[in-house]
Amino acid sequence: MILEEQILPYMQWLWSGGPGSIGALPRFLLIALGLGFLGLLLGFIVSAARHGILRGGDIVYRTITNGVRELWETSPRRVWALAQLAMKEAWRRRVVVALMVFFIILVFASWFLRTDHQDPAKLYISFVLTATTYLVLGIALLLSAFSLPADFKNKTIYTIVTKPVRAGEIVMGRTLGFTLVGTILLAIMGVSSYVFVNRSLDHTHEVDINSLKKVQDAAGEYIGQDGRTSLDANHRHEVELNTDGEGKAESNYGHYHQIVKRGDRSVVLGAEGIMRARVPRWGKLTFLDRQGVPKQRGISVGSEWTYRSFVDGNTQATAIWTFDDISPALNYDDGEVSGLPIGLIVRVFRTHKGVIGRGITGSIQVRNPETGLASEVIPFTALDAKIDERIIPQKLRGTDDKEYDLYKDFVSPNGQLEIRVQCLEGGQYFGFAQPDMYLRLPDASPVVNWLKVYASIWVQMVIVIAIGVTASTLLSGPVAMLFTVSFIVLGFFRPFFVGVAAGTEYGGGPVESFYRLITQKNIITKLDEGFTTSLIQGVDLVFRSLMLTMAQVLPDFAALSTVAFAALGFDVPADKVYQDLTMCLAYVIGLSVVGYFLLRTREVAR
Amino acid sequence: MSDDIVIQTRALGKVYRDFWGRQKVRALKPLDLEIQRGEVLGLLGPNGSGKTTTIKLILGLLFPTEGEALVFGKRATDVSKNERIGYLPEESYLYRFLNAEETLDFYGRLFDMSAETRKQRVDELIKMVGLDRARKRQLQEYSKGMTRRIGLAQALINNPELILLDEPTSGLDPIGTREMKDMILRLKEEGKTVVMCSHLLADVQDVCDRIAILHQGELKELGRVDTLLTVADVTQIRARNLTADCQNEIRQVIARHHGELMEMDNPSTTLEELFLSIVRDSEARPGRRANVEQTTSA
Amino acid sequence: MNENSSFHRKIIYVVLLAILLFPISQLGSPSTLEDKGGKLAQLRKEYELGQSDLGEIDPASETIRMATLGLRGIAVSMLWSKANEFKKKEDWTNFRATLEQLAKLQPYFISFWKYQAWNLTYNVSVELDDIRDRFAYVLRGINFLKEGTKYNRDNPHLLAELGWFIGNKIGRADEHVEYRRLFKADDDFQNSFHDGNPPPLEQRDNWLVSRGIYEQSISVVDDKKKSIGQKNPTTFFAAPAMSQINYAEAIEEDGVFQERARAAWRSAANLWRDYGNREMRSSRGSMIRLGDLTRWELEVRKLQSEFDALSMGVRAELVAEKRAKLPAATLAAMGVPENLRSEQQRNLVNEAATQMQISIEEIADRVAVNNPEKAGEASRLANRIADINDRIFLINNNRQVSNYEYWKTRTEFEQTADALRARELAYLGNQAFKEDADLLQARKLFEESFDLWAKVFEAFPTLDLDSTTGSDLMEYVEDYTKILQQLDLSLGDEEVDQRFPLWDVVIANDNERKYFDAITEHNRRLGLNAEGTGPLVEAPAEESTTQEAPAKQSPKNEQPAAEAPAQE
Repeated sequence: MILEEQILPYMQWLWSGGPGSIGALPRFLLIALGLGFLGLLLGFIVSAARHGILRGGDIVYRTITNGVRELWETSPRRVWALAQLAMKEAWRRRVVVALMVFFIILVFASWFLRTDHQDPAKLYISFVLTATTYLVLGIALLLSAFSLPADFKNKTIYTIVTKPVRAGEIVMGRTLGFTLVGTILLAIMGVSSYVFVNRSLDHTHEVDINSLKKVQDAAGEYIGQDGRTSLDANHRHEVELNTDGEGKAESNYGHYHQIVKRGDRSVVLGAEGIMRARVPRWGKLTFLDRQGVPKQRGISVGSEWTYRSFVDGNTQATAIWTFDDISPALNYDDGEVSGLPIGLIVRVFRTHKGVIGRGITGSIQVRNPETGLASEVIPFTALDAKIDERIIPQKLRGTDDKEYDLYKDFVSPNGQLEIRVQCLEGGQYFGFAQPDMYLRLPDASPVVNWLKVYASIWVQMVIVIAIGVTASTLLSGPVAMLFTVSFIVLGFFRPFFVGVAAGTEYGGGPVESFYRLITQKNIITKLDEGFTTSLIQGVDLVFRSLMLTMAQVLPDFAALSTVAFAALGFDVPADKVYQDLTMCLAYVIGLSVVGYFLLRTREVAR
Repeated sequence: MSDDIVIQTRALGKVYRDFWGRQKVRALKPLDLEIQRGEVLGLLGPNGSGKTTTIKLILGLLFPTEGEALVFGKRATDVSKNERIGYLPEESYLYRFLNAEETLDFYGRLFDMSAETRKQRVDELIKMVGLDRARKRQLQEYSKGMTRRIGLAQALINNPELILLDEPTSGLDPIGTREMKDMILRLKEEGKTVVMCSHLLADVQDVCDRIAILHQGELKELGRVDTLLTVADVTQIRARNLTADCQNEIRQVIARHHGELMEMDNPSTTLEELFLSIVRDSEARPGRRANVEQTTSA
Repeated sequence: MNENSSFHRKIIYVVLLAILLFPISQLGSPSTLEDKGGKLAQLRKEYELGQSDLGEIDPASETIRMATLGLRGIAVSMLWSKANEFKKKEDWTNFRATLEQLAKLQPYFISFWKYQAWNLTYNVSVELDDIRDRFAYVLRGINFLKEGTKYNRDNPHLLAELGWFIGNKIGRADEHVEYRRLFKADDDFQNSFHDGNPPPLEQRDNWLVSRGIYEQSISVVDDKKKSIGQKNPTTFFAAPAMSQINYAEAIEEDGVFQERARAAWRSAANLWRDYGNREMRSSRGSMIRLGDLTRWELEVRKLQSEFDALSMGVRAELVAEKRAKLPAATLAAMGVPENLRSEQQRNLVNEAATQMQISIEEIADRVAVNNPEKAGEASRLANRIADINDRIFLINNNRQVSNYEYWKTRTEFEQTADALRARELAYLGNQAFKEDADLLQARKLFEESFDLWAKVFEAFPTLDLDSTTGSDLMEYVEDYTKILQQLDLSLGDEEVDQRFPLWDVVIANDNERKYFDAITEHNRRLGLNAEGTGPLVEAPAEESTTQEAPAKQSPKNEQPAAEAPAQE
């Protein structure tokens, strides 16, 4: 699981935020305050220009006080009536077509999705979820952006606003109605895509009889058979059978099969583990450098992507994860082994080939962060870029060769445990990011996880609807749509947008990059000093500060998406779901307020 | 301000501007108008004279450039005044995908009416405007007259005290027109205030207490219909069953008093009257060609 | 009037439409079985631009391209940048999925297939740690390229690239021993790659498969008259033979000798001969055969002698004339012995030498002046000689490019019993040393092998000492010295020195001066100076191993040349 941004606990996220940022709520209030002030100023300037300073001030004052009063006069019945109207309208506008498109996509998906990828589930899940997201956002966009403008065009709005309907109710009713329609669509899509993924990836194999070889244990006793399955869905599995002819087709292509004896044949059952919802508990990662000095990050091996940093082999360089709240409750015991289950992802970087065909060895060691008591090292061979699910045994020897208990002796009184990983081979490197080691809690239900992912799509949809409805209070249909589309597009590329605004992207601001484009200068070349350059950069400075302002309200659609969790088989953390829902609420509230004032100050009959 | 004044405009004016704020059209020159409770006021004038603009300003659909309009003592931009207002727009701008019941129910809910009240009221109104048989049909299948009627029904859903009608008879056949006029008179009887605008003079004449004549955004004339239309130096005599002799005698009497006889003949009825009597006749005896050759006043 | 004119206008439009329809139908009517269609259809046929001419028609690809509604360029650019992002973030599954989408969008863009297949086979595979995963990505790149050849059936470049991947990536990577083994053993791949007809096990060698594909790419050029574009024909046409040579080398590395190795080398020799006899377009446009060098050299010698006979004394006459024209200073300079000339004098002499070069045309012109009756003959001969010299120059150049001479000799001598046995002995010696740790036996086997090698060098005197063969032998020598070390001996010891027959090879190839001490010792024994710059041993020629493998084409870096993604 690649997690470039750490997911903070909900309360921390809401109030104080992570390091170097502020909490979501204060941030929301700041933005609201800023926007409110800006809106007030703009409103005053416009009405003062129209009606003179005194009357303009009066109008602004009355608009605001009316707004506050009308908020209290909001009637759920009216909102609901308008929501129902929006739903009927959506239905009449053939929103069902979207479902048909969705089913067509599913039917033809197999043209473009091949099952010969190493992890077909990842591909299938990310495909259907991404398709759903785009489709639903598209529908949300079309519904929301064109509805109000159509009312204005047909003048049906006349009969609405001459009733005691508050402008806020019109915005909320629309938002609610389209959200409900979208929710129904999403529900149908969610169920069908779940079925689609499971049905598409389900398959069985035959046991390849010719490949079976008898296995004997050290004493020469017959203990079972080894072999492989037939080639189905572009892959095979290694097979291990016991003396009864039952066993398991080992994990390959992200799943495994059980093999049972039916009559005199060993039959391979359907695929298992295609969809998983691993529940990780992440710790905090720090490093020791090659001299054993604590560092925040390991070294770079020159990769452009700085997600992981590396420890060099056969030195004191160590990756140290500190986990909180360790208790025997986390213990896993299946009778054979007992200990703390962890998942570990190691990215191997070799500076020489080493022994071709053999992995790089490393070591795992647990340590009590308070007493400094350390266990003896547990050697392992790195599985590059795959999840190594292993168990740290409960009974461990210390460096002093005495026997210790993991939970009693290595966990500090405040529940902390350190797990240290080193690379043992000189000239080879292990790369880690914080989420690369986690405590494995029991898997959550994939169905619930699916729901959570759909909830995140729902959140995106609601935000788009809110933006669309708000934009359409002021703009004509196509313009409102374009406005919303640019919000979505910029939202999907928010990090880049912010990068350009903050000046951290190569190639400069919009004018400078345009200049580079037409003069065919690459993005690294320094521009010649001079008036033109200063002018360009000056204008860009204005643009960039505008962009930076805008970035404050731009939803980060890429970060809202939880498709990657489902695709990689991880449970979406509850904190993330709550954060997204809160964010959604913030957008709806904020946009409703903006929409209210836009609609309220608009002359309906123009 | 007295409770009896329902609408009051003070120097109400509207200027349409273009995008750059330049003055384009002066749609309404400062207008002072007071409308009393229970009154039927007709706004008269040719197309583009500012009638509709006035109504939209009163409703708050437009914002005044100068002056203000007060409805029930509240500013026109105040939404809560709408509780007591019914409005029938120039064309019935309704949701064509709803049927009559749904439409009325929807507007009823916008008045925050409870379900029972709504049901009762919807039923009442549908019967009143005579759409009982078409209550489940979508509005897009309605004829112009039916649309107009459902439009009127939605305007009355809240049993309003003030009713604003924009060209209430436009596009209606003579029967529809008459029914509309009867409806207005009935509303008047119920003590409601009605403001209507029209360019069909006959309609206004029949139902209005007062009329205001607008031309090029300016109020030209305002007063009671009877006063306005009385021609002081002309006397009209209408009599029944006069013989030719009697008529001659009357001529002589007039001549003797140095009066000028302007007209004495058998009056022709209005086409409207004729049409209505034909329809009544055909309804009474369906399938026969109407036989109304000579009309006598009944 | 108004109505009338509008009616007239409509009539004019209709007539104009009808007139326009005529050329459109002429240009655009589609071809049918009976009719060859309009001009466009004919042109399309002529340049083979119809999709059915290019390769397989894929309904999925067609649909997707239609579905982009003319925004294909944008979609393609977005997908390329997505692919780059996935590559950066090491998300190989999505990287491949993106490539597949791109493949549907731009299936006829050759550089796309080449670039991204290269990415998979060369760049992605090395990012993985497990050798099986690595190999899986090598195969994925190969399969991807194969997919490209389905869309572009008759594209020699893609086929050649495929041959290169299968040959060189599998056969030359650091992991080539495992890769070659995995390649042979992968039934599933063999099955799908050969469309359900996998060749028998011994034919599954990656070099043989690669040779087959190279032959396919050549047959496309020969039979379907496809252009090889900017590719150098000298290297392009050498590819199958080089694959066969690599095959022979590779099986010897695997320990296969005697008849099978001989057969492999024989086949390589035949292919190399065929290659020599192939007519190829030279850089100047004329057609040449690499194998024709001797023939043209004989021809030119014969013509030259005819010409000399015809122009007897003319050259001397011209030399004398030119010499007479030289300034006194120059003449004086020429009088000074070479090693005593000053800088200035040397320059003067060099200048004079250039001036005094006499071309064959000049002689022919003079013959025409002196003996007008011989003019025609002289000019004809002169032209012919110039022509053939030109040809010889080109052939020589191209022979150098493909290292023609070396491989010709190599394929011949490797077939000899001595060479085969020598290689086998070295292999056995190595095995005895590494697996059985039988030092004495190993030493004996190596020494026998070296003796045979000496015989091979004797039999093939044209074989360069510092060629690939030389470096092959150096590996044996290295193994040998390791054995000696274990026996507390060294190459410089007198006992070993006397016995060792390949001193020339060692001296010619010791660039890293590993054997400096041994060579010094050896030279001392022969009575030469320590530097080894004695009469017997020439200074080592400059080493340039790259020239010896023509199939390597232009050296490729890990990142293929960036090509604009958007357009075909």
